[in-house]
Amino acid sequence: MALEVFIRGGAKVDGRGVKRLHGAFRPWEDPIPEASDHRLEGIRGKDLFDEPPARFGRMDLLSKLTLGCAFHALSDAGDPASPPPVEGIILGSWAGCLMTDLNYYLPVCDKGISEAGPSLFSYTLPNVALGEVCKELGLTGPNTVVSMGRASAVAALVTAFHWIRSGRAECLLAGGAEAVDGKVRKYLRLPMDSDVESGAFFLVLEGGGSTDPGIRIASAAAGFQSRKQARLRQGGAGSGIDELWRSLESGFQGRLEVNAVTDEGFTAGLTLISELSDG
Amino acid sequence: MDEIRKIEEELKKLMIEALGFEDLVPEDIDPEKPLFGDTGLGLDSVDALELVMIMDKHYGVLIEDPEEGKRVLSCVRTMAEFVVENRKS
Repeated sequence: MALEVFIRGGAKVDGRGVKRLHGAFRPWEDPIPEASDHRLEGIRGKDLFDEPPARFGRMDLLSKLTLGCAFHALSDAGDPASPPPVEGIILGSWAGCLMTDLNYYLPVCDKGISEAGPSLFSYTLPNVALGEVCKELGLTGPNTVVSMGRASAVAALVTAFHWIRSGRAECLLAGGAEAVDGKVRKYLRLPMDSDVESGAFFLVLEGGGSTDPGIRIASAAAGFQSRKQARLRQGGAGSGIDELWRSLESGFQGRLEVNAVTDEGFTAGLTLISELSDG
Repeated sequence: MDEIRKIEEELKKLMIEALGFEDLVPEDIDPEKPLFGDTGLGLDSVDALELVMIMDKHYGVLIEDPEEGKRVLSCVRTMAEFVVENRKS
């Protein structure tokens, strides 16, 4: 059983490009077509991969972002010749496959079954994105989707922490992905200036010994509080991901508390400790 | 024959769009090559449903028998021939 849970690498995909935790920022080389009201909706396989998966173009946006970001996180975590032994993946997502559901069902409800798209239908469950990742990256261990509003991504990291600590897995991808457009914003009643946007963020977590160097997660918990308690204790709603990413990128030293809290009262928090290597 | 060629070109464009082939152009698809399996485009069962929908939606042609479907969907040429033989004028 692993004593400690370490962050081995990570990546982030957003409207500007791809950033690996230990690598340079890679902006989109070709402008992504403005397919609708979000520029990431037109993302192509060659935007994310040197050798795109054969059927990348058929996937829904949640799967594209999850797969692309998971690939870069895995690549960031080790030498391509000996990648970390990632077994499974935990995806945190607020909107999940809602965009796909709406893209599939709205035309069917409006014009009838002749508008049904079989390929699109196969993506109307959020864990299909994880199936694409497992297939492309060769993961054969456990996977699941966690949905706790804006706290979903941190909640996924909390879940991964406990899976590794309990011995269910030794190495996991965990993080969040959102596919959001105008329809989804309307359905979730998000203000149009909301900072919830399409993108993805994944870390590679691996169990290790208590004397190993590196950034480790010392404790993690998720739960539910009343709205009033949550706001009083956490100082307002937020995903916690931007703060976590900035701290990891800057190579923080010492102790870091990351808290995510939603307006509904979901909470998820991590305590990270970073210690310099003796070497 | 010209009608079959015309429909083949239409089908290729519809397939590329509906099946999400990002870097494929109609000229890349040989109308006589298998659509399914390792030697062809590598389509799968979900793609087969898309092709059935394309033929229904754009040509009003229904494939109702699974065995017939296997034959019709074997390549672009057989699809085009089935459209010519079965669509209402």
